[in-house]
Amino acid sequence: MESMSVESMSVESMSVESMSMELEQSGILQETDEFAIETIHLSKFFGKEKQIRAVDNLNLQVKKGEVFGFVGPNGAGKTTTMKMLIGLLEPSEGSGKVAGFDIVREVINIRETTGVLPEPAGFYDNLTARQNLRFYAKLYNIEPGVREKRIVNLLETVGLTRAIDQKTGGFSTGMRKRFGLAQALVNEPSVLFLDEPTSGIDPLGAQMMRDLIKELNRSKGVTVFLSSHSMEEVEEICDHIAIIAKGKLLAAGSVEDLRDMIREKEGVHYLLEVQDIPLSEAAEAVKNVEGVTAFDIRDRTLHVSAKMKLRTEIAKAVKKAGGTVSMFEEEEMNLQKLFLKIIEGA
Amino acid sequence: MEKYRNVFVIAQKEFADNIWSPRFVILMLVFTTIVFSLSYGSGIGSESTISRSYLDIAQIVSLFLPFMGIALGFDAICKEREASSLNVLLTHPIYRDNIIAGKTLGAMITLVLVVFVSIFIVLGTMLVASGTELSLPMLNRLVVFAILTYLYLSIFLALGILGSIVTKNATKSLVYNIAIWVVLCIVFGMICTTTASIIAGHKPTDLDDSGYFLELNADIQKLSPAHHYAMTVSGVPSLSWLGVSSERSSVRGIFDTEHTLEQWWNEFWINVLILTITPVFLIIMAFITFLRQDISKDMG
Repeated sequence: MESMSVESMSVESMSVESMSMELEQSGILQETDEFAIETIHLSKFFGKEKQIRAVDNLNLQVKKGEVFGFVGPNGAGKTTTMKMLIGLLEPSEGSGKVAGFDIVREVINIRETTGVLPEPAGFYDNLTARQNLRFYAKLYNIEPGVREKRIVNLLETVGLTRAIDQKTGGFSTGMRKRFGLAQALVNEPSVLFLDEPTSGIDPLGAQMMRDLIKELNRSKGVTVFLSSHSMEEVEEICDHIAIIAKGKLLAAGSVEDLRDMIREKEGVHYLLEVQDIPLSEAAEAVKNVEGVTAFDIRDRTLHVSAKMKLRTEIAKAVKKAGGTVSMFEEEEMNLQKLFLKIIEGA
Repeated sequence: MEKYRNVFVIAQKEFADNIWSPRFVILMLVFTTIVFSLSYGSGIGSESTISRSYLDIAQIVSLFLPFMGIALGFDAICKEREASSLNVLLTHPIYRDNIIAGKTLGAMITLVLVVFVSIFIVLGTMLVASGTELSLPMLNRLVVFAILTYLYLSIFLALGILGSIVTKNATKSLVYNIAIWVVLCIVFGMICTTTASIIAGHKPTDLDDSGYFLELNADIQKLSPAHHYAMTVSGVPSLSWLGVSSERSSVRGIFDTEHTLEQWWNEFWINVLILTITPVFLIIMAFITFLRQDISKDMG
């Protein structure tokens, strides 16, 4: 949980500067250049009475060079947050910085230093891949010589060298996604925003896309802000994750941080196989260990729930009862399960 | 200036898109064929024959060429919105006003090409066919004619762009723009006559003792850009279908060599002003509408 924090203080009567100072003093936010993305009480309300709170009091810190996953159910506020971060929507309250630039006052600077693959993403289908990229590159005033070399390199990076002079109108969904990534990289960005980069493409294409993102992050140090529905994807490539629902940040940290959070709330679940004594006897022995909250015997396996990690204590209790533990596993919670637990809890 | 650099990047792309689009090529060919046929027919003759030929061309321009303006503008924004390419464009370092300015500039440059190239190619055809030499005063009048035609078509281009902003898809935008074109260019005379006769309580066919009706009719006709274009070019109002008018100017338009260009200007400066202000006003409307729209809604 070190790179992000959730804060719920009232912001109505506070200026952005005073909020920022207060958060800094409280240690929630640190004024440092180690963050590629920072938001302070970022909020977006819609409706005449501001009754729809699409994003509500969001405090995020994304470190430079990390792959950051932003997950949540439909309508959670992911895309609205992303739109505010790239300057397409003005926040109702709060503030934010991307690559050191203010998301309200320095929008053009942000767009010059970031790349975005929005969802949906369309291109000029009457133009070839090269012509499309040339057009986008011209918007950054990149010198023609550099521009042409970069176009070739980018299309090679995303595996579209053969399609360089093909019209994008004839591209498959997978090719379009990869081409979208190429257009997002045309200005060699330091921060990359990807909105559902693998949606609608086959598993092979999706894996290729993930590998590309990982490689970009590893070789070029690009900070990646990834909005996704795919927990598998986020778990595979993200260093840190934030879970958002109904506009509010529910949890944030690494997958392990989130597991710890669930452990604190829900406890730890162990699976044991025991030899030499019946499972019922082992269960009786385990029941007396302080901190064990429940047990159950299913499929010749003893399922034990505990408030905290009690691996040693449980093993000792079984041994004391005359049993031998032949298998002892902590039930691993993948991100999908973690996500559902967190959403259910909210 | 740096802020506006990308206006030219967008304009360049729009211009290239337009001139290479099959839609544009077909419309251009049709228009050029029509004016070529008219001009070739009257090619053998004096300068005054050329003038008459241009008046015939003006009639065609007044009725049908607005469609060319519409064709260049009707999908400028909604096409991008439908294809989601606006989503991508907006993530690059470009101000929103640059997008609309670039698109308008690109389309207007294309329109310059349409008007000036076609008019001067036709002129060349006539001169070669007739073997006559064109005097400098006549050439000046032809340049003014080209400018007037350009201003007139700009109105429909601006209407097309405005339609592309306020509608959600290209089909709707085209339908609305065609409806406007039909009303303003094809049946406006009939609408004016009917409206004036209802207000004046006068039968449109009975032109005796109908001063109020004709005055009212002439006033309503001024609402159509075609009227102002026709006045400046030929000195008579554009009647379109089933229209009536008793309005006649002493200067018979831009090709009336019995009057100087200064006299022409004194007679028609208000019409020229309206032809100039209207596209500017419509473009400003398009800018404001586009800037006020939440175009980020199309993303995600």
